[in-house]
Amino acid sequence: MKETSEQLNTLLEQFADKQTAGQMSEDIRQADQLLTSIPAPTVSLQTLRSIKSQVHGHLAAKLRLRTRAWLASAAGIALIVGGTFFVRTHQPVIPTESVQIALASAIWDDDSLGPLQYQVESIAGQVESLNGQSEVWFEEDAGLGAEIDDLQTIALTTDFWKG
Amino acid sequence: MDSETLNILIDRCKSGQAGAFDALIDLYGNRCFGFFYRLSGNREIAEDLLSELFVKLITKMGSFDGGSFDHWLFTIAGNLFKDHLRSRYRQQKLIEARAREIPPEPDKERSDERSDHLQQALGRLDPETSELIMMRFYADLSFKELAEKRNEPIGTTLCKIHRGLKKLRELMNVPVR
Repeated sequence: MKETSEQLNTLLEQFADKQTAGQMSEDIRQADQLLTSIPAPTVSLQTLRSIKSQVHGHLAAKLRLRTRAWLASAAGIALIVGGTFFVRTHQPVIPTESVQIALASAIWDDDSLGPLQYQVESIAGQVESLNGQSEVWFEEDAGLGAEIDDLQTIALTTDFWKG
Repeated sequence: MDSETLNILIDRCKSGQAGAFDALIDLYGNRCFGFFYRLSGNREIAEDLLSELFVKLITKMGSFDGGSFDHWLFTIAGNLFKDHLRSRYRQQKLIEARAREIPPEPDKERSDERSDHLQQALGRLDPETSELIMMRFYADLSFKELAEKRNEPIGTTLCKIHRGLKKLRELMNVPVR
């Protein structure tokens, strides 16, 4: 709140002598009067209405955002609670040692495992034979290395690549 | 409006009630517009800044923690105007433009002529001083509050405003002792 003229005088007297303070106070009072006598133009009702509608729009957007955030956190909490409940109520049943041994032997003694084992062995054999073939191919094309050496010598000793 | 009613209104604004913001706009719209208009000298800019101010208040309102609402509001308004100056104009250019933007209109009433004259005179003051004067006039701030806001000795603020007001009166051709 602006100072009253007495308060202003007291304040100014802290910085200037009484007469100068009085003059300064009068200057300020008259300038204030001048500003009061010439009011600034007022804002149109249309502008005020438009500002209000903008503010309403922003408030609605803020509310939507807040609701969305609230729903997201509620869903997150529900998910965590649900997950915890599910994990607690559905503990995996671990079989005893004797049952585990019985299960393992039952698996390995299964007759249907035989054909599968045979297929695995057959594929392994095929892979091995392919491996051998690639070695043979490399040995057969041993002259390839000499050809590459020749090409490198040509490239180094001639200037054909300069155009 | 008494301070208690104003506090209730502010609380309602803080809780996001659209009606409360309408009331706040009705209450402060003209004063803030006058503040922006006197600083910018341009109706359109003043309207834009006014709109920006109230939209900004939606997010800022929560940070108001008592004290003088006028002081708080006009501090935001002043900062908005400074941002506007920084982003759109160089200060000196604005002052020159302001003087050009307000050509004398002989058909207008005497009060309008004086208003234009005042606007031109304000445009000739340095932006800092004219903001101080407007802050004191529209936000009804005391010299002490202004000095605190600007973080400077009260004597400095007093001197700047006194000098500015004196110059304003000279520019308005009001006889100065």
